[in-house]
Amino acid sequence: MSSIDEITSSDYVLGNKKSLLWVQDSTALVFGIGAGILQLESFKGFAMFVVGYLSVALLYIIWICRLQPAKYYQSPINDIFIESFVRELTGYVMAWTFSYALVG
Amino acid sequence: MALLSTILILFSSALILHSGFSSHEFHQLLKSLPQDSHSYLGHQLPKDIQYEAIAGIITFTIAVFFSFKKLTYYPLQGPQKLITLNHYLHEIRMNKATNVDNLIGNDPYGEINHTPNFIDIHAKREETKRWLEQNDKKEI
Repeated sequence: MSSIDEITSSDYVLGNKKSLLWVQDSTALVFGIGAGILQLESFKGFAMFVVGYLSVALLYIIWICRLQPAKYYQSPINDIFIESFVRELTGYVMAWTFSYALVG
Repeated sequence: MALLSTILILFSSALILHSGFSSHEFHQLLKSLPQDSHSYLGHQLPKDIQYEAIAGIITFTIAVFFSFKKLTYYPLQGPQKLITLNHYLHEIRMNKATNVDNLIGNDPYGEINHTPNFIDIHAKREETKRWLEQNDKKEI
């Protein structure tokens, strides 16, 4: 039997996920543009993505979630670090290759 | 905070655009050099362009975080002073998420729960009639 704490408001679950997605989408695109301007190639480009993605996620937990992500997300590790990883990686690679070709 | 965020986003966009254009100019210049020359082989993007691009990215990231607003409420009683809470997101646990709705008597599922067309109007009229009769008697 589920306890009362496990019942969540679907509206706020979705709203919080939307806020996180907006932060991750916009920063991934700008990091990609930055990587293209810096003319990063192969491993360095992906390393920049990983560093950027992790630092934005950590900043989000510290700044927006006030170090209590469990209050705002059902499964914080999955929601913040894993769920949108591929989505952001594709956005980043798109912006990276686009600006790389435009600048170079 | 929203104004500060907008200003920072505009500023960071300018930084990124300028560094992008500078990088483009640098690479165009590089293409005009003979490919076996020393300057072509050891080329690296100038430090100022690198720093400008990195500063643009960092400023943009901070601007995105600044765009979040803290939750605010007007109290139901007392002076109409805006109460600002110290968090940005709504808590998801149902007992916390419905706090405001419970306080103001709001039904978030009112579209479903509010069904006046299902009311037995004859029974309600009877009830009202009885209530009025009782009250009339009391007044007399």
